[in-house]
Amino acid sequence: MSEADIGAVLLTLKLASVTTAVLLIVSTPLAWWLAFSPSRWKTLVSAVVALPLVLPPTVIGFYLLLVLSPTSFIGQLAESLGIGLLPFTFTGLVIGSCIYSLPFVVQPIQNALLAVGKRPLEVAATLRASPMDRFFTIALPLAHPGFLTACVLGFAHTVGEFGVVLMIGGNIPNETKVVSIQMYYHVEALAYTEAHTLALGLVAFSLAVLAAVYSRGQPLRMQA
Amino acid sequence: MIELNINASISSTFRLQAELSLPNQGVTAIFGASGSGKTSLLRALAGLDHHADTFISVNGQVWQDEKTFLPTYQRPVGYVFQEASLFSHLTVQQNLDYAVRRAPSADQSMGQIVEILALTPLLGQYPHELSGGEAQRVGIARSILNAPALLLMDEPLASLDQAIKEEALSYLALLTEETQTPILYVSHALSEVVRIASRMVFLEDGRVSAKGELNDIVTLASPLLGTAADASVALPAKIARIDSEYHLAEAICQGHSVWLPAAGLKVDLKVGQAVRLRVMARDVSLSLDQEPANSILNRLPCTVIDIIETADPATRVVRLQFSEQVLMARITAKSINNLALDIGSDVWAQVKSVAVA
Repeated sequence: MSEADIGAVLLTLKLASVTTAVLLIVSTPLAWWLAFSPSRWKTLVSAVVALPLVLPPTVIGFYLLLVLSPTSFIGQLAESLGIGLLPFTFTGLVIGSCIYSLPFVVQPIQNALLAVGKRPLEVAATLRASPMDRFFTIALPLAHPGFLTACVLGFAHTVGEFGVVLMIGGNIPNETKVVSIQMYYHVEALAYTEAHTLALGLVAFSLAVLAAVYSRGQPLRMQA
Repeated sequence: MIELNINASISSTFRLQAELSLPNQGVTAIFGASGSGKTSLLRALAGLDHHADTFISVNGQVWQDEKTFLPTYQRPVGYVFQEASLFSHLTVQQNLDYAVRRAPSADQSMGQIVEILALTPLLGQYPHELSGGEAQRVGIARSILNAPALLLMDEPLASLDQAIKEEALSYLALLTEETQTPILYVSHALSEVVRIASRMVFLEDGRVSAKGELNDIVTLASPLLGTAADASVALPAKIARIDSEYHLAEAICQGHSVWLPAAGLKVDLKVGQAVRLRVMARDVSLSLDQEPANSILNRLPCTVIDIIETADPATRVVRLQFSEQVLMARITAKSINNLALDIGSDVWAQVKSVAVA
């Protein structure tokens, strides 16, 4: 593998790790709300969360490009917070990946919390356990397979993304040029040997991840 | 003191409108048919459901009013659910520890509770390895070990089958004597209530239709209470002696002696022990004379207070004043006519069988 290939692999792993971490923090309260809230807004929010499952990545990329542009509200906010420019940067990629992989993290957690149900949490509340206490001592241990599945799927799905990255990331080495993009340019340049290495690597990685998820007896139930 | 005033619509067709004020001690039964609002009442009290227009105060501390809503975990309240609801990822011991660690003080002895509920052999097991009765005993122990100021029990025995229910009930009766924790016990089974409660709140269609001392309520003319086929009363008594020759115990109740079987009980009776005698209305017959020559051992002098019709046109329930207590006899309308019974008649209640509640 060339140095550029290795750079792309490391960048991809970094992007997937950061995205998964951010998504866990964002998705846990969201999944909790979707699982337990009686709100009538739940249907609409569920649909919005599931949108990336059905939308072409180019559509998401296109809107992200508009929303994150320096002239937009979010772009100006990022500028004034010192984050700087969002499109064609790593930060921009993380934002895009989080949106793109959101349902893959929210839904397994939501399903696991639904399976645990309200009762154990109610019991813990009557035993004087505070909400945080209940989350860490009851919800997390009982729903942990769902959290594991969410991590693995969020990570793997981010590794496998292409369209969104292409739209908002471009191909800046070590900044936005992830494995799938690198591979695309190898093929464009008819460098099939290099393309084979990356392609086989991705196939092996994805297969290992899916096998790991299925071996835990967790069927992939995505609801779009 | 428990004071509560709930006016909440639970569903589109059901409204809970309950105003109650109860002394916070002993066992109070919340009794009523399915769908009468018993569970809704308990959940509101525990803060598991949040209704507007509700006032709850326990021992002078306001748990809920227009401005306040104390979340469940800040209310010193224990809750035993219909299903044991143990934490499936923890062993029995860890389930109990979970409650003990979060108790404000260690005023309940773990050893004593574990012993009373016979949990020692179960401590290392996981909930899925327990039978329904065992799991419910662990659930009850767990609630008590959290040292609640008030323990709410929502039909804790309803999901158990009859034989196990009997056993669990005797554990529960023992426990309520030993611990000082006041209990609100929700049930639709009169036989359970009569065995452990001393006070009763009767709910009908989301409203409190009666409340007071247990025996005053269970003798009311309601198809669920006094006129039910299994209607019974509980009489306080004291064991005076044990007759080992005939395997009987003599209890003194309102100054009269009452014989009951002393063999085959869960707990051995002791002389001087205070007991509650359960007398089923269908086990009581009436006569005008003392009639010494028949096989019935227990004859109690009573005065007729009331004669109540039942769902069965051939049967009447007669309410009887027995010293300071009330007894019930379930007899035929024909017998009432034959004996010319009327309110104020003096009769002898012949009690065919008496059990320790």
